[in-house]
Amino acid sequence: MIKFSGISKSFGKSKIIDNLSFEVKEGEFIVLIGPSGCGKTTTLKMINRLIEPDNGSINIEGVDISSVDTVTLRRKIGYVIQQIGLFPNMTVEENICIVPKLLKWEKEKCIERTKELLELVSMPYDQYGKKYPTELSGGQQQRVGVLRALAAQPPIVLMDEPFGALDPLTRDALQDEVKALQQKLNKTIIFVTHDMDEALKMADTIIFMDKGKILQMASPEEMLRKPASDIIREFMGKRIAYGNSQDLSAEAFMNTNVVKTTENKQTFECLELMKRKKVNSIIVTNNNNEFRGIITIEDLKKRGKIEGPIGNIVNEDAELIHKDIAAKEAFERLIETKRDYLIVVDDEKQIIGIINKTSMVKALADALWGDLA
Amino acid sequence: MFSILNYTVEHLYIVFIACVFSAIIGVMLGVIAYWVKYLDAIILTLADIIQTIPSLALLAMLMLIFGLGNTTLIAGLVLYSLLPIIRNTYTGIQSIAPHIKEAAIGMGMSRWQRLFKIELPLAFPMIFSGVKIATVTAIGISVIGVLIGAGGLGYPIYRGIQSHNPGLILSGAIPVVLLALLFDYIMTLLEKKITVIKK
Repeated sequence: MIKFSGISKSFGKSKIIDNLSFEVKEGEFIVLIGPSGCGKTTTLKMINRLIEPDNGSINIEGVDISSVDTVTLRRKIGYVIQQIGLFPNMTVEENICIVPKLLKWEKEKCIERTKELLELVSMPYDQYGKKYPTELSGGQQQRVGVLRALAAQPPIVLMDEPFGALDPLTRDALQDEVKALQQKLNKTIIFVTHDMDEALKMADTIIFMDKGKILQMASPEEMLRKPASDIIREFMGKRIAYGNSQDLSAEAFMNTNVVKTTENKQTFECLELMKRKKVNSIIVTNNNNEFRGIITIEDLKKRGKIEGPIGNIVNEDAELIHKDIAAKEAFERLIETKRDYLIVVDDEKQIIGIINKTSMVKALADALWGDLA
Repeated sequence: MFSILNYTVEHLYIVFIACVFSAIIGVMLGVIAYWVKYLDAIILTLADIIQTIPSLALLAMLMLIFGLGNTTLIAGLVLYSLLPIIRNTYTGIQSIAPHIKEAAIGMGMSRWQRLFKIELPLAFPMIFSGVKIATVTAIGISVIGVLIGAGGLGYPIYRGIQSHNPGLILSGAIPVVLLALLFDYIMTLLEKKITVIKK
């Protein structure tokens, strides 16, 4: 549908777009994202020739757009901007009908289309059609902005941070509406944003740009799972570690704060240690820091006052797991064995942590609400 | 009394014709100044220079071209009224928010469509206030038209000065003052109304 081939653009000495090539399929929702100054808006504006490239060509449905008259080209491409840009001297209806009128649609057809479009965003024509933009809320204005772009049924719609100036609730609602409209009307949408949440929510394909180049072009799923560079990883922030939960290992969420002691310690010492650390169980190791067993305060109480090394009375019955085992598997084992904990060991059988139900709950909470720690 | 009414009507007629012409020419020049980047300084400076020429000197020079009579006065008033109209048209369009212009361009409106559908309507309150300044100024200046043989309320004033007749002077001067005040008042009201509608 849209094909960029070797596009470059400089403003003065700085290179904004550097040999950019990519292709957009029909009906695809493409989100351009990246740090400010990465060239995403410039890329967008080249599609409707608000900015002309220095080198390379852009084809829409096989036609080089530099050979098409700009006015004709733009009437076939919807355009939504962050500042909305409704014309204050025109009513909602007149605003929506601008391009259809430029294309010489019949008056009745224009009105029909306006009614139909306003219906799509639950703004009845009778109530809103004759209003002026200043009489609408910000969210309603941008709804009209989106409808205006859709009015003449363009196959392609460009959106330049359209929801950037809206409050979070309105933004959320409009994201849903636009996504639904896009799927319903099968439009090809190119959408610029700097908000990764928005990109993940809206996109079929995300194009991540930096310094005028594409760092990665992938589906949201794939970008979460395998971010191609540190900048993308940083941009994804906390979503990423928990997003690829398939790859998460036991080590990543185990509790490393465990109280250990060696087997030759005396019982009384262990009791003291429990008191001091405020725990009711201790992991007992041999002199090589390998697992020997576990001792709980109940065990100690049951046996009364027993002298001698703790190694004699430890409960050796415990489940050991390797640190690289998948988190999912670790959880399954914890549930299946009905144990309170699993001991996590490394390649040298050294104890490096435990997994209990608390660490499981915490891992779940992190995945849901981001890193809580 | 009857003659004063006649003079007033003639006065208004001269001012009206002059303002219509200067509004048309002024808006056109304002748009050209906005469209053609390197012309804006030239057009605005020229209009500024014309404005600086003493009105009597300007009329005298025009008299050399147009001869005696109302035509010369109207030409002089047109030149004199250009500056506020050109400047207000130019700044009025210039000051429209860039995102509104970008939206218009991005939607595929041609330069003329943008001008007539977006830019002139949005700049209209400002253009109108330029026309107001021009009108009120023209009402005052056209009084000296009598010196180059034009009609209007300048005539009784001039005759009054020559014949040391304070009554005659006032019979011309008072209507001129009243006209200027009246037009200023009415047009200010209209101006406010337009601004409210267009927001």
